[in-house]
Amino acid sequence: MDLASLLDRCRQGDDLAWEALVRQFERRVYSIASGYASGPDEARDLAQDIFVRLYETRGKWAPAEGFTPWLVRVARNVCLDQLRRKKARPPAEDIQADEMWDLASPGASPEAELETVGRQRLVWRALQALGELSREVIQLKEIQGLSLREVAAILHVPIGTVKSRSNRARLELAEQVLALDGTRGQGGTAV
Amino acid sequence: MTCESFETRLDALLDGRCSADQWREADAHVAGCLRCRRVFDALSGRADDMDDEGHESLSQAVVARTSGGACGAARDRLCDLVDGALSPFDSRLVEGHLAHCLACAALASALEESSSLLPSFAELEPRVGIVRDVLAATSRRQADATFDAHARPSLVGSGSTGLRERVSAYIARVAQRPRFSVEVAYVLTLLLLVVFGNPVVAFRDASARVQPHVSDVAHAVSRPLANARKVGANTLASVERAIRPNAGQANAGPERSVLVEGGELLYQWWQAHVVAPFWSVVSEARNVAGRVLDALGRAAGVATAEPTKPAVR
Repeated sequence: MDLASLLDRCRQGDDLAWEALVRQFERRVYSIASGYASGPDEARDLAQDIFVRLYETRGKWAPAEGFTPWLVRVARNVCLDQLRRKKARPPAEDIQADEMWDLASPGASPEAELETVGRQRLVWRALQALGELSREVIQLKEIQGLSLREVAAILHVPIGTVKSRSNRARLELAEQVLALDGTRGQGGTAV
Repeated sequence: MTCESFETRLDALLDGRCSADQWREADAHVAGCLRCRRVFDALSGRADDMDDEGHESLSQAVVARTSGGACGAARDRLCDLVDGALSPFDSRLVEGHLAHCLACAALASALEESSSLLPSFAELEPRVGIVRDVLAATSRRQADATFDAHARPSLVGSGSTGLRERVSAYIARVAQRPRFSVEVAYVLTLLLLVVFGNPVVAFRDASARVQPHVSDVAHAVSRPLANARKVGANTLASVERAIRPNAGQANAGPERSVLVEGGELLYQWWQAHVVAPFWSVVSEARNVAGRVLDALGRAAGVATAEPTKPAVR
């Protein structure tokens, strides 16, 4: 479905288009909310708040070509606002990956699928063990796929800072994966 | 001989400028120090006889004693290597390091794996769908027409109703913001400081400064009250005289009844001794209030406008 047309119809007040837009971005918004939430219920509430904020400001939506980065920015702001109001955030270690979402099943065979899901859970746990800054830059750049320039605009830091912060966060994540992975020794295969 | 003294003598040893005693000391040291022996063998060309393991240990030893190790430099470029953003030359350098450094190789492997899995988190399927809740929540709200580009009313020719709706919608939207109360408190505090200056300093002696004005008010109020009391007593006496006139007066005016005269007297008493004193008290109170406000303004260090003169009634 053409995003530009969908956005136009939403701006005109077409409820059907709005429903389609919610369905189209539901999983992405939930993913962003999960990065800031301390549990599935909170992530769900945050996702709803994000959509409500979107609905209330329909006339201010970004054009289709820049909609996704703009959506990520709005979602981040909503999450930070809500969390700032709640102030306290439970430790990230309490988050269980399999409670957060129904994992995708990209594997061709059940064995491969099981293996992939297991690795996803491992990386997710490692991600939750990172600090706020590292997790956020990974969420924006690596997970949501925003460019360095877009992430820099969201975080209000220079592009070079985003680049170095991203590299540091990815290495930190890899080290966390190694620490959590009991099956992998320090002598992995070279790239 | 220590490793440090061996290193300082290393150039002389390699150039053959050492005495026999110095050679013996160096031999004795390298016999017991594997690292110095490997460095010496490498620099003197005697390392060619070593096997692969020997080469590896030697390289590590030389790097450790010179640049201090290449793991840091390799890790700085690991992300670019995984992203394919490294030049071919740098790629070969990093891969060469990874081939011999197990720790960095494991890190690179984990980095590659996490980098490939992270995009799969971009869209997560919630266990319970949120679409229905979102639609239910948004259907109870009207989209903010202020920001609706297609429905935005024009200020020109839209009439006061459109403007009022827009202002109402804007205020409602602003008031719903989480930080609204904080912002209002902030603005009011700034306003207070601008108008009155530092309130602590301004009101430090306020009670002493206001005391004379309070006395004025008390005096101004008590005087009309005393007058009213006196007038009231006189009026009662007049009424009593009107109701119970003496015999001579009663025979002199039979055309005006006692009741009519009593009513007229009562009306005159009401006008002269109730209405007029009341407005006098009101006028005096307004004067005093104006003086008090003026005094407060001067106390705050800000000149205030002259109090408006009360209307004379």
